Amino acid sequence: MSDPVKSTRLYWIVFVSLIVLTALTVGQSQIHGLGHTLNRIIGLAIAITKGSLVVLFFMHLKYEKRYFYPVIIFPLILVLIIIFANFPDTAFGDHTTPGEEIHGGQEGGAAPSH
Amino acid sequence: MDHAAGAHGSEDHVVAFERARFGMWLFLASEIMFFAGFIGAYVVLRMANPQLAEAGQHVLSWPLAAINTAVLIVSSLTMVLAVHHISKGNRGKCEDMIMLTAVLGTIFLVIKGFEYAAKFGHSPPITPMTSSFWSSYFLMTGFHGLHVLGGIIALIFLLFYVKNYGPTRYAKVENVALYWHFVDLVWIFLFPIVYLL
Repeated sequence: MSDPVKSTRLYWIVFVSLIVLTALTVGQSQIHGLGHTLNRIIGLAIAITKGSLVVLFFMHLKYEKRYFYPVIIFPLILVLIIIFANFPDTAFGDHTTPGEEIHGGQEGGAAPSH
Repeated sequence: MDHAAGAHGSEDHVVAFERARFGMWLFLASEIMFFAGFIGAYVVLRMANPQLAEAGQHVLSWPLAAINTAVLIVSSLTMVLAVHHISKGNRGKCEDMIMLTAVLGTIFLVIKGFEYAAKFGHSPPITPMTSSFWSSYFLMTGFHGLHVLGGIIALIFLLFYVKNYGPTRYAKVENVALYWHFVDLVWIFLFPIVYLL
């Protein structure tokens, strides 16, 4: 039984990559000309890359048997589902007027006339 | 099942080690769901009230958080080196790396302490009650900090047991390392979504 990674060189390469990617994240977030949306997409993409490096190499997932993978992939999918499923009720605003949910709107869901 | 049941087979510890790691991964899966609750709430609450985040981020110090990110990344390196050393039977170097990891974790918490103190000392004081942005902030970073503290305690415990470990017996070191990397992983996502974006 031994470390699946034979020499420490790989760990140092991953480490330097993580630091460089962190610098990139900070750097691109300060470039306001890109706009919020692009900043967020790039930031998340970098974070996912860094996370993958940690999970695959530091946590040795790359060297584990394949049945390990669903244990981390399934919760991540579940997390995305529960976050996005909440968007209509919270993130996209609350469109009910007080009393509407009790008395109901008119047919077709139009707003009540009072 | 025979190869696992073999009393003196050299594969026993390999199988047992693999099962121990798998158990740890199952626990980490539950931890993913734990943090998903707070991070998910932060995402939807922030989308509903983006102005709160804009105001809040002006008060947050991203340079301090960036330093903390670097601190945790270095601590992940020292942790994985600790596992590497014990897998080669080098107890001394393993102990050194475990101690270094614990010290770096403590530095992270000290910097976090300064951050929190700055919020409470703000005028008016910023607390979890200030707004939904701030309650999300304190919950996410607070629970993450508690996880770091738990990891430091586990690392200190490890130090007392390293003398029993060796190349065929170091599952606890690997499992504490898996936990520690997970804590780093959470911060890798927290840092950009709270401080930068």
